[in-house]
Amino acid sequence: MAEPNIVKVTIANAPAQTTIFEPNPQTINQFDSVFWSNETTDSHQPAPDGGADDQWVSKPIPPKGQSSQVVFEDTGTFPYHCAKHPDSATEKGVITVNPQS
Amino acid sequence: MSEHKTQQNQEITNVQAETTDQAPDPRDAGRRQFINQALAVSAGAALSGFFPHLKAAPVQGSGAKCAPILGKELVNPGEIPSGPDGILHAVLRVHGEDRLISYLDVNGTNPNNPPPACGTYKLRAYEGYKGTKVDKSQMVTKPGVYNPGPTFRAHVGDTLQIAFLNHIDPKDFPETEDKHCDVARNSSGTELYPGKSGKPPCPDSYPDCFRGSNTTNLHFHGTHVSPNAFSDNVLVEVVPDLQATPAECDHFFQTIACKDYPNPQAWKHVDAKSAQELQTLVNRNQDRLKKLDQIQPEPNDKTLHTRQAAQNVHLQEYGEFPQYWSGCFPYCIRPPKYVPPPIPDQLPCPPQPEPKPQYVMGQAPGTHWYHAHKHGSTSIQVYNGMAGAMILEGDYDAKLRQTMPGVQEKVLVIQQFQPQPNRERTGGAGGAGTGPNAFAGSLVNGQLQPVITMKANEVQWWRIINGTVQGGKDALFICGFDGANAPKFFQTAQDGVQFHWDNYEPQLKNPNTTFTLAPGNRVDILVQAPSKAGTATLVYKDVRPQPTGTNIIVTVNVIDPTDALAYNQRWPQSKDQYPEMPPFLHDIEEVSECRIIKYQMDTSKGPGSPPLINGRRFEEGRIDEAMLLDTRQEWTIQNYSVGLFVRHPFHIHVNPFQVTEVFDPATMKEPLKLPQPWIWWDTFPIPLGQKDATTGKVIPGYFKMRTHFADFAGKYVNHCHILAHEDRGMMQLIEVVDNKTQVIHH
Repeated sequence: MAEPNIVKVTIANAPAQTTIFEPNPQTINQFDSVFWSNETTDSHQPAPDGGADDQWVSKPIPPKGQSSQVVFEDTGTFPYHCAKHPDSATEKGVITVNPQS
Repeated sequence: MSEHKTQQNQEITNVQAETTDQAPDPRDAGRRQFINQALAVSAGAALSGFFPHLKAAPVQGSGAKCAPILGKELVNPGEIPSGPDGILHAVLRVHGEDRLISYLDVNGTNPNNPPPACGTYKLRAYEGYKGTKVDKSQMVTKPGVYNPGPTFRAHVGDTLQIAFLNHIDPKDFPETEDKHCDVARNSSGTELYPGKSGKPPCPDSYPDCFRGSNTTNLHFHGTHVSPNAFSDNVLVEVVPDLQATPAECDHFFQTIACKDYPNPQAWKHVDAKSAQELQTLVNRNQDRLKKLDQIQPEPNDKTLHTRQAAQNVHLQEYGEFPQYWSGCFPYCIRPPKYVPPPIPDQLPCPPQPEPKPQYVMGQAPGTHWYHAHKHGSTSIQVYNGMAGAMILEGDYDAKLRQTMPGVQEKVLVIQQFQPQPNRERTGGAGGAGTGPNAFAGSLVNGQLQPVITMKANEVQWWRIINGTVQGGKDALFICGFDGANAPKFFQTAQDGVQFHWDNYEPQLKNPNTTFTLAPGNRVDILVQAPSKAGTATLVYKDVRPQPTGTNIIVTVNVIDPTDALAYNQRWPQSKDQYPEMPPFLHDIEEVSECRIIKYQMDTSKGPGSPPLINGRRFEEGRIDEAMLLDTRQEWTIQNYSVGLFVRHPFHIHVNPFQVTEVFDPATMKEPLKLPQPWIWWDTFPIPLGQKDATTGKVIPGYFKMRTHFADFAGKYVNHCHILAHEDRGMMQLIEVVDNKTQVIHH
């Protein structure tokens, strides 16, 4: 069984109709971790759809900042959004978690 | 292939690499073509045979636009030498920087035959400048790519003045606090690290956890210098201060930073003028700390620096050096040159005390290094690349250069990388506490699997530093050359201390095939190329299966010389050609005290087991071992750990030690008493314990070492050099107590 990986999702300014989260979806394996690196000039707070604002990242990630890790222990599709800008159409993303091979 | 053609091709490669680093779309189908072209061009057809394992297309990490770089000719790290006045002036700046990393992608679709990949990550990174200013024209480190700090090169007896600036912006890495453990959650929001109960078996807790990773300091590994004040003082913590400038240090280098501080109280007992200067610096520091809470507050702790200032006051009341520093910190070390005591012309009358040298030990000339050493953040900062070579030259170097005129010297700083911003552990398949090994492959001077070109029969001098956090993947810390065209090598030094002729000479008839390179170890080897062209690799010799290619450190490309340019083909073959062992490195024949130190980590309870020494973790305010200055002692360092990753490399600061006896219960029935002269080390991997099949008890592996607590009293540490273990508490605070007192009869 492979050891858990850690992957980055970059938060970057994006053209309209796309998302600020890159890559999107971010596809990982079960037990891998994700962290977000904010390359915009605003703060952002990735949070799972239907979950608490601070469920993944305790506070908004400042510009240039990086979050702590979130470990995905379950398989499935995890849609998320920016809790700081919940109405923004471009601030939505997906983490897809595949079973361990 | 001619050397000229090789050089020409190398230049083409460099141009192509510079171009392609920026140009290609990461997702285009031409990536495989690129890597093939790079390999083919880099040194002709022969080089393409270097990397038969790279079968799959290279990939990219995290969507970054980059091209993996591998197989390029090794470039020594940039150097900052000392001047003719015997002073090394340097600025070492730490800051957050996006840097490109190339690696082998063991987590991709082909984990057993991982392709090269790359990504750009924000790291806490060193910038090194010659001189006393942050002057881009004097910068010797490479921006934008993963690479170690500058190589400091000085002579024994020189003074190294390093203006140290912590310019890490806490907002770049906001999720790490000094006073609390870093936190990792799962997608449901449940805390996995440090954990509260049950998982991991014994949760990490302050201060022995990953935390405070924007605060830093320096350890000068392998130096025999004071552990106090502005010297090799790992109890100092330099907090981020974006307004710090090197000019702040200039004055203090001239006045107080470079005074001798041979014991912890020495900084309180200086002349009146120096005392005033010290107080000026302390007052400035206190003011700056308090202001930081207003102008540059920690994201999650708005009063941190004010509390740190209060702690400094508390320490001063007890005569202790302040622990927390802002602004430019003036590191100043002077590795002492051993001067033998004068021999009196005639017997004095009346008899006088026998003259003693100023320093009993002196600094061993050789290959040393420096790295971050702030408890709780050492591993992530070293993963980020915060380490570099430090070469302290002396008679050893002069003699080798006399024997091998024009010898090419290679400096290899081996590092490894992991992508996380902080070091908090994840849960996962291996259970909580398992560190990922996502980014496999060693980086040498920041380069993935670089090539060292040698001419047939050429002898080069390689200074190799294992600056990794935990070695190679599952490393047993044994290295050697692989391949039909493998070079021979002759080891001249271990951990920056030269071999005695009696330990060097046997290699002339029977060259060694392996050397020990645990994290923290250094070796000097004279590498002799075979007489014919071909290739070989320097690898970690791991007996367990590894993903293809991940054990390769460097590739050696031997070419036929076709020009008349001279190159070194000599190596010491007789005693008069070999450096004489200085008297302070003679064997320690007698000891006054023996101790047993037990390193323990019970992995049978699952990953994340607490790392212990003598049953305890490191604790603030507790001294674990105390020794009297100038005593010679024998310590038995035992390892009660069984399983993988637990061959703890024991390291102690300030003084090297001689290993006299080794016992590996897995392979020995009796301890191996080593013949004299004993080899000096400062880091030694303790053989694993072995569980007795009948009784179930652990038979510890161990080694015995002798050391001389010479010249410097003060507080410093011994610890496991698997740095995550050190951060998690596998460290002892020790104190060498001065053997002099002010108390007199009168």
